Amino acid sequence: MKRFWRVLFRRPVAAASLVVLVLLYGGMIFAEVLSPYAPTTVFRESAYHPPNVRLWSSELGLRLQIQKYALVDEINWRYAPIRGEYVPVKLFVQGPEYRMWGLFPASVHLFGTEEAYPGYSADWSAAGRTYPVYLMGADNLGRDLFTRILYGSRISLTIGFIGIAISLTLAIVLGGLAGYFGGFADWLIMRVAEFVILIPGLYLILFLRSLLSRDMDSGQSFILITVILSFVGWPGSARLIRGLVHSIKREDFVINAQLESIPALVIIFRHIIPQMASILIVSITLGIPGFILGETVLSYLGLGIVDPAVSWGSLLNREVTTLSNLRSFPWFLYPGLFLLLTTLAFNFLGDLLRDVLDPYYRERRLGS
Amino acid sequence: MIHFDSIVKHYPLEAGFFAREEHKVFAVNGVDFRVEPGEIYGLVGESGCGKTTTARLLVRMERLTGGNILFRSRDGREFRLAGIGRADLAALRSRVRYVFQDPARSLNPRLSIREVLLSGYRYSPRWPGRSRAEEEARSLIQEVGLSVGDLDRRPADFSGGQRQRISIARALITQPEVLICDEVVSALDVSIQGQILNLLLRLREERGLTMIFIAHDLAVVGYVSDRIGVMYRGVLVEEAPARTLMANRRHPYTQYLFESLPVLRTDGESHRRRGDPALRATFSRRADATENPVSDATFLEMDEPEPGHRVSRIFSDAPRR
Amino acid sequence: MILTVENLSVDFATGGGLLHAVRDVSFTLDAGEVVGIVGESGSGKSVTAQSILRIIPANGRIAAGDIRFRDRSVLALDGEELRRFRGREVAMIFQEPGRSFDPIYSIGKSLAETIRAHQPDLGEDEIRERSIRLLEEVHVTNPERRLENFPHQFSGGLLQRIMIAHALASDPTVLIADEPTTALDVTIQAGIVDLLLELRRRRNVAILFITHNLALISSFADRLVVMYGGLVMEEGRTVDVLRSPRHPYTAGLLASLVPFGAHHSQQSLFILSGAPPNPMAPEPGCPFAPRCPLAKPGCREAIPEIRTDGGSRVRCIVEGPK
Ligand SMILES: Nc1ncnc2c1ncn2[C@@H]1O[C@H](COP(=O)(O)OP(=O)(O)OP(=O)(O)O)[C@@H](O)[C@H]1O
Ligand SMILES: Nc1ncnc2c1ncn2[C@@H]1O[C@H](COP(=O)(O)OP(=O)(O)OP(=O)(O)O)[C@@H](O)[C@H]1O
Ligand code: SF4
Ligand SMILES: [Mg+2]
Ligand SMILES: [Mg+2]
Repeated sequence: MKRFWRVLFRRPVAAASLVVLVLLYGGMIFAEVLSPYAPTTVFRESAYHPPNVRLWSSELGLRLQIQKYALVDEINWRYAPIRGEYVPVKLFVQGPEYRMWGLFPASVHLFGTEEAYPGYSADWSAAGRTYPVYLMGADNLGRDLFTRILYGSRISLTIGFIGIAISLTLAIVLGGLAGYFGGFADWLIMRVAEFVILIPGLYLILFLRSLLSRDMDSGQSFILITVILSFVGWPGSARLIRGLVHSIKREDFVINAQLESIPALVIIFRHIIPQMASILIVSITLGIPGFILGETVLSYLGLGIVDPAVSWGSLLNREVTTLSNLRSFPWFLYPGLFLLLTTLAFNFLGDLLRDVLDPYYRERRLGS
Repeated sequence: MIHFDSIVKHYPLEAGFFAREEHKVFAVNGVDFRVEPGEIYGLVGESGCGKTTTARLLVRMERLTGGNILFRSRDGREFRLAGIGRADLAALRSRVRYVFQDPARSLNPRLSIREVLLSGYRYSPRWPGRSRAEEEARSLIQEVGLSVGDLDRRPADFSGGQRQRISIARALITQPEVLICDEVVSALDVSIQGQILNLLLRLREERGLTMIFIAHDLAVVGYVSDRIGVMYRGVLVEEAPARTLMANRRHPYTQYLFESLPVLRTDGESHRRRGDPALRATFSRRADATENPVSDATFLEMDEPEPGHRVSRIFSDAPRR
Repeated sequence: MILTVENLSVDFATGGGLLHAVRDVSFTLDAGEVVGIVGESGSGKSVTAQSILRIIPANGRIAAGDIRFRDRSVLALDGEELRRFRGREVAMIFQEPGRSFDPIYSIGKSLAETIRAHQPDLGEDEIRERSIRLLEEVHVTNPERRLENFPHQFSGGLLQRIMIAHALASDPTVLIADEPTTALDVTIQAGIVDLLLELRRRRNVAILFITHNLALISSFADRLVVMYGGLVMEEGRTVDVLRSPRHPYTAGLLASLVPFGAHHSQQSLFILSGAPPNPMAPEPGCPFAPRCPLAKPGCREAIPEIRTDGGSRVRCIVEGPK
């Protein structure tokens, strides 16, 4: 652990990745408080509203504030800033009510405004009608994109863990059996693995998905996506694990365990697999982005998460439909940016872990 | 009592479907000897002569190619290694335990010492239940010279000598009758070797253990063994009580082996190669294990010039002194 | 003096903090002399040898001291000078000959490469001729044919001879041998020692021989350095050190050797109790104190100074033979 911190200290990119991941997962956990609205809160009058938060104006000076905009082109949804009109953004304001983690009712939000908004929303009564704050712009219904990204991360950021858990379990069991017993079991498992690897992943995903009905609720979709992705994901790790089991199997301590008549399954899972803990941790870290991207692809193709549930993939699917759409409303790429950050962060962190856990990696600077 | 009855072990040199039968390593070629209950039997010989293979055949880490091994346990049960069944093998393996050369590799680095001792015991036919076993582990760890607190530590926390003590404790927990010690002191410092040898001798006294003791260091084998067998190229060339062999070696290979042993000189005399050049010429050729030294079974017969001292005829046409 | 090691200290950065592998080690090596380094596993023998060639692992650092070759400091060499020093002046052979060879090169090819590195202007035929002469010098029979063979076709003893041939290619003044015989059979060990002694006679090469095996070194080292816990405990002429050891550890080590011909039914072994020091948590004071039969309270206060005692240099506060 000490070693982890020391190496981390020397690798600013990895350190930044760790910070990014902590922030992202923090955002995921506290989405209700951190977001100013609910993901379904609609402001019909400000569809396609651009981001309106700024830090400075001559009127209000240096503070978090909102630039007011006016709708100038109702057909193309173009807005123009209104010179000299700003609304202060306040911290810990009362806003729409929610249930924290679905349990405790509350209505405090980290930030928001307290100024009345002329075209208020009908489905939002309790907490008053205040001017909407769009950190990252709004979608076609005037819903806050930042809010939706935070809530969307609940699916996007967990699917990786659940997916890797399933696929790694498969890989450990199958790779472990193949590597330990060899012979026919090995042959069979490895041929199946090669078969799955040979099929281009995307087509397999599409095929599996198309077998199933299109109109499922989000919960079912979520489970289905993880299962499909796990099924596509296990062979690579299984081959790695098989190779490792195969070499660890010849170690004296395994032979010793065999001489003690310990059953084969106990030897595989209690004695051999734990030796690879560090490699597995690295492969988990490096494997998560694959699942996140897999979900995105499915959702982007309209086969995954659908409204009213949100994930980063479904956000991209909904908003980034045409190029002109993107040109007019570039903030629709924010979910993609989050995706990129997460993927890179996991990769850098995986590299770091590999080096920390690799006994042969030495901190080179001390060398003489 | 253990009887290695003309055992043969050949390893295939090639693996797979197209492997040719005739390409093989002749690791053990008809070795025949008995180990009596309560005795320490030493096996010596140069690297690759088949000592480890012989020992491993006894616990069926390898399968016999030919011959048989008979083990009669104290309770009168008889085990024959050729074609032994599953249940018998488990019973045999809890009675005959193998201690590896390098404890750093034979102990699972992720288990605590308690788990090391008990994880195998649980599957032995003599498992007495968790709490009873725990008690046994505690008394055993003290018996080998460590303390009860050490049960919660991991192998990496110990020095080489202490790890070898743990290995020995692990072997003893199933209350075996036979201990196979394959180079158990070779990896240890000279200043630690003595501690382990003494421990083994004490355990033999207290528990009436039978031991097969393999080592390169002839002085060490000579010290701990009651009888010694000398192997060369998969064949037993000479066997005698340790004290007889240390004083009087009859087979030319044994003579050559013992004369190669460096001895401590405190006289400032500079190095002078001892031994007979003719012997050296005969035996220093690398023993090629892919070549079967035994062309005829009568070569394996042994003469017994004095009671208990057996000498093989094979290779004995070398110059003898 | 060809080689002088002066107050050498080497530290390693490890996960658990700084490890002092070698502490204040000094000794000398004269032309044509054989010096043996003996001691417990982990006592710093290999690290000392590696420091001389400046090849200690990257997490290690020479923290103090100096190494002088003839009159130059080895620590001040760099670039081309350091390469020449490693190649021409000091050569090293290791414990496991099998691992030092590239399995895909024939012996002839790797030997030619080594020779070419030292004498770039030699032609193919001359290189071949030199290779054959080198193999003859280390008593490999049939050198012409053997040049075509690959490492796996040789036994450990022969590979060690070929490794020595590599070391000789540059005609070094000093040969460092780190446990060159430990992985070999007794029957082969003696042959390697014979060879090294013959080279010393013929080429006047100085040899630093690291080993665990006191019996082996006793008959051919001129002087012995005994190490324990990273410190030199005793240093002197082989006869003096072995006949009347001045340090309790040397005495204990000698007594721990199982005498040839002894039998348990007649004689019990001398036992040096305790375990070797843990380099991550060194004892204050003398590292041998927990195992020393002569230890006094004063021993644990500070590391004893090294002093001269009966012709040897000894690091112990108790005087006289042990
Ligand atoms: N699994 C194996 N496959 C093929 N050959 C083997 C195998 N195990 C051992 N051998 C060969 O069998 C011969 C005898 O080996 P063994 O390990 O019994 O020798 P040993 O006397 O124990 O040697 P050492 O003193 O080096 O431990 C050697 O030539 C070795 O290379
Ligand atoms: N790269 C390294 N990183 C950390 N510690 C090291 C490293 N190399 C050596 N050491 C430590 O330095 C100490 C001295 O090691 P060294 O290899 O010199 O011992 P040695 O006397 O040669 O032992 P042996 O007889 O076992 O070869 C040991 O405690 C060892 O663990
Ligand atoms: S200094 Fe003390 S402890 Fe160290 S060796 Fe001498 S007498 Fe023993
Ligand atoms: Mg062996
Ligand atoms: Mg070393």
